[in-house]
Amino acid sequence: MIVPGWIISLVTFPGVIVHELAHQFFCRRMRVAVYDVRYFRLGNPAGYVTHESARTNLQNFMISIGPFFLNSILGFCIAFPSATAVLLFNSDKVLDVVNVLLGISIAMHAFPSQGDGAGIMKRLKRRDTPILQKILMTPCVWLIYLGSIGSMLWLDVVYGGVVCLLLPMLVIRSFA
Amino acid sequence: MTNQPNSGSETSANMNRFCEKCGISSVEPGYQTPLCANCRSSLVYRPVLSYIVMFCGIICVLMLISYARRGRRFRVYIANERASRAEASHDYATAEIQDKIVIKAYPFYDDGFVRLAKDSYAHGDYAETAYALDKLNGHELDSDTADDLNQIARDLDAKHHSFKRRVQQ
Repeated sequence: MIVPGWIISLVTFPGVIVHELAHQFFCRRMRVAVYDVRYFRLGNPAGYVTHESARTNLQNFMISIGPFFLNSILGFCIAFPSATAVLLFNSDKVLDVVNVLLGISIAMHAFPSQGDGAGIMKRLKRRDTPILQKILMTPCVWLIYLGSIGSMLWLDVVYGGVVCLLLPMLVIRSFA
Repeated sequence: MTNQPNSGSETSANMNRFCEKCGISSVEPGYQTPLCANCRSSLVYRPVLSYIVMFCGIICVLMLISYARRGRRFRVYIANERASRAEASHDYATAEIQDKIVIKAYPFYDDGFVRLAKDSYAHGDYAETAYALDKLNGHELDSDTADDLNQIARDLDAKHHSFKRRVQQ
């Protein structure tokens, strides 16, 4: 089923905001100047962070993939108290449902966008980039592109479901 | 949704050594964009919009409420898992104890009552079996589970009658 991107972004806007906040957070950590931030808008892209080029490729890489970590961790933490209640005990309490839906909406925006991948690739293509960095980071960029294409097949939603529903179940099992 | 590294001033960085923003000559080294430390700091620590801060606050409050109200449920989730494992390893006494924790927290959880009925019956706690079967009375279950429970109910009934006969004798 094809749903316009702006509708998905509108429904899952918390994820878009967290995604851009993650870029901005990593820019701060890497001391990279941010020229412009748009946390959410109805358009393509749904949000963006325009920043200067980082000092190193690794910093640039971290800024680009930062949302993968922040969105995944935050989505998991939000859904964790309610995931088992919803999945196993069919809880329909507002707090449980809100937690799970909010968690999924955040985690599903964890994938770096094609623009993020292009930013890394641009740096990797430079002549002065060490060969080891090219070898290690290029597959990551391919994965980013793959994830981006997969989003058209709802891979991002599947990922959100895995992080917010299945992962909490596995954590509970590991404690039992 | 993207981050866009702006490399438009990369060439100008090599050409002049003045801050792009304020024009002073002490630019921070190591960057392609010529910016002085103060100007870079102001851009790095660009303030987050107030409605975004509010949004973050709401998420934090929601998480606090969730963990405060649902934190105790982790014990129940773990009990549920332990009950399944104990049942699989035929440790029905443990399974029954864990089942009771689960159904106390989720009194409408049919699967919990089904498991309690089976575990308590296997453990020999027939009063608990009768209670669980009573709770499941009239509920829709899949045919295999219903067959199993009906068999337990018939066995329990037979045991009850033989007990009554023994008492009467």
